[in-house]
Amino acid sequence: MTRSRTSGLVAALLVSSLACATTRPPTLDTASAEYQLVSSDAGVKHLAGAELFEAQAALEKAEQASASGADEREVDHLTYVARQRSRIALVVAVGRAAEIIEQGIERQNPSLGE
Amino acid sequence: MGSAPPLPMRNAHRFLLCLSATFPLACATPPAPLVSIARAERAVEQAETGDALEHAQIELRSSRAKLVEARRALDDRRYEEARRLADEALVEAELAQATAESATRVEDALSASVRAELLRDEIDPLRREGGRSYDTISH
Repeated sequence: MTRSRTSGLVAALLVSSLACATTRPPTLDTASAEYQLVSSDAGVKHLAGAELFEAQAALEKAEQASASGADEREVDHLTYVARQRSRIALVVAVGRAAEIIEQGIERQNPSLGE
Repeated sequence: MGSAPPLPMRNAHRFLLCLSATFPLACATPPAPLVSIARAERAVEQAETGDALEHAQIELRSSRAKLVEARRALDDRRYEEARRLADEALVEAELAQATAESATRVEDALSASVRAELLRDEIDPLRREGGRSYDTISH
């Protein structure tokens, strides 16, 4: 009886420790999906490579913090920063694409610049 | 019963005792995030001098609010919280600035496109007119 109670306790402890080890905030999955989406775009890669690199580094930092069981607030914070970095990469790429389009229009219509 | 250690030795013991008591405390307390707050302040100022007030109000407002909270947390010696808030204020200010710059570029491109179309509308009838005149002369 005592033996089965002990093994039950051990099993419960194991399950709870495994649950702790694998707890991953859902926002981190969202951040990862957003980064994948932004980084899979060839235009963003080409036009905002540096910003994309920063987004990747920020996401890796959040992933590492989560995997090492860091404080929940710290993981949430790093995840938030990573999401903003992906947005920055996207916004910068849109701006640079617009700049290229404007330059093209001006090349075709030289009198526009006068 | 052993005799008490000599005075210099006792002082050394006390010093070591103090050191061992303060060392974990020093390690447990994070440093004041002065650099993080200064970086966030610069980024917010930079965003404010750009077009962020016009094009990225929401991001800029959130960034400013987090910077205020970060300063408050610093005053209350909640250093971890102050660092997180300052880092979030920084990234939001950078997003505000990037959004504003991007919006300006998109507006410029659209404006160039519209002006090019207007120019074509002005030039094309003249070209057609010019073509007709040429035909009349040549016949």
